[in-house]
Amino acid sequence: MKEETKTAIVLAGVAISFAGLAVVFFTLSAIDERPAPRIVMVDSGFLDTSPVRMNYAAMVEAGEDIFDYDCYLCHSRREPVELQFDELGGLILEEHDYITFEHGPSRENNYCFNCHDRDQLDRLRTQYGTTLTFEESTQLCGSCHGTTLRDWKQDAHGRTGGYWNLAMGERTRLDCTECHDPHDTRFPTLEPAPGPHSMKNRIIVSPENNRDP
Amino acid sequence: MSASENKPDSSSGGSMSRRSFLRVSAGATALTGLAALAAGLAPLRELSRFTSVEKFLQKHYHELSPEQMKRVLERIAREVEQQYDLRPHVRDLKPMDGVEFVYALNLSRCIGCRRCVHACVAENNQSGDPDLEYIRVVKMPKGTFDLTKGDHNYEPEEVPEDGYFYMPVQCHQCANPPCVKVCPVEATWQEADGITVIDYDWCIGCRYCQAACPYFARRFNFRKPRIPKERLNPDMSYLGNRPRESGVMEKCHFCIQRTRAGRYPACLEVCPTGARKFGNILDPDSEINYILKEKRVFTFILKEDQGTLPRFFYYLDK
Repeated sequence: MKEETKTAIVLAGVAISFAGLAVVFFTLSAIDERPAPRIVMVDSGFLDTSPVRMNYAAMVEAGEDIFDYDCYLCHSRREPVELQFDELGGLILEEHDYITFEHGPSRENNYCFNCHDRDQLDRLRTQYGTTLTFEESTQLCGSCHGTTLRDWKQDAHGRTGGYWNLAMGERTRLDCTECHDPHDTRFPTLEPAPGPHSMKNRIIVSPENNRDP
Repeated sequence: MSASENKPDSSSGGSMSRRSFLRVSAGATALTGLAALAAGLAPLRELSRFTSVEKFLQKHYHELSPEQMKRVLERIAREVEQQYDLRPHVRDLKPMDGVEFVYALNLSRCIGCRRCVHACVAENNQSGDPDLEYIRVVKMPKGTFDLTKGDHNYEPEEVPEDGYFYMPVQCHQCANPPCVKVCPVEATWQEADGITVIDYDWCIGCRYCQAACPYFARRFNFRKPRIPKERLNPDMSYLGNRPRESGVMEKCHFCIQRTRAGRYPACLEVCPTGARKFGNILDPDSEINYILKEKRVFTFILKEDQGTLPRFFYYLDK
């Protein structure tokens, strides 16, 4: 065979194989319709915008059972409640023992009648003697926590929702007891939503191994 | 090939001449080159599925007439419907007169529950795969403000953990934004209400803005974003949460589709503790105005030395 023919054949072969590769590439890119893997999204519970707890007013509105708030199912209107204390001054609870008293930094605001009215058990009573219903509890909280009430009235304390522009729509604002349990006032701990997955493979610098030598 | 080798070949007449060799090789090279070109252009086939001539010829946002904008929004709605089987409500909301948005975050209230991160993802149609989030929450030991001791990846049973505080970081909507200055094509700019926006149709994906941002607030779509159909938010805005393509930047825009319609951002509404506060700083009766006047704000301008003049403030209860 002539050298010329040989070279021509080789070159033609190379060209054809490249052309073939291009065809394969095109076909593959056209039929690349594999089902994509499922997209994992966060649990929709983490997107819930409802308050962390239900207070009396919300329970009434939702038609929940408010049996617990009907004081005179057990108590008598004629017999006033007498509190009992142990020798250290701690309150002895017989019936309401499910209540955790964690109100105030010293946790000593555990005297029932600081907030509840002694004579009308289904009413609240401020330190100034005003009687309030359970729905009006925010006023009661504000009678001690004045600066917080002031902030709340300005929407600077507490959770809001809806419209920042009151000309365009309504703003929702929560009562104190929709976030704080009045007997155990610290905001509850919550389960955190998942962290950033895209950063999973990074080196995590923990405070422990980042100390100065 | 040396001349001494060539000579005997050409004299024997059996081998190819220089001319014929060049002719054949030129032909083969051209053919191979064409094939390579075709292969190289193959990704364009995929692009043609999503890019219309209309989009390619679209003008800059500031040069679009209302008529043209209407057609653009119609095109976006069509594309979204094609891809997600859902007719979206795409708008181009303009800034309101006498409104400048400011955000404030109460560090003494934040418990690090990351609900804001995911409410943002859902509201703003962020990609689920690869996952992309505008808000980062940094856990830091109390008593320091040392970001090098920060941790993004905390996964305890319950938050807050004793001895730590949490600092969410997102776009600060700076009044002096470094990201806007570096953009070579003016695809990102500051609007009259203080929101720095991105035109996803104009962005060339150079990522200069990402490098310029001192808050690591900008995100790049390295791949085509994927959003489950059932999680797509149909309330869309041109400069806001309409679905993005691969190769463009995105970031927090204070939920422009909500806030320009008078609503609070999604991250604020989902925050269980009310640590997030937002409003119009020009309104003297707004809560944000009250907070900046009454609370301890000024020691917590993040990276104040950068001179970015953020519209995002961290504060503590007095």
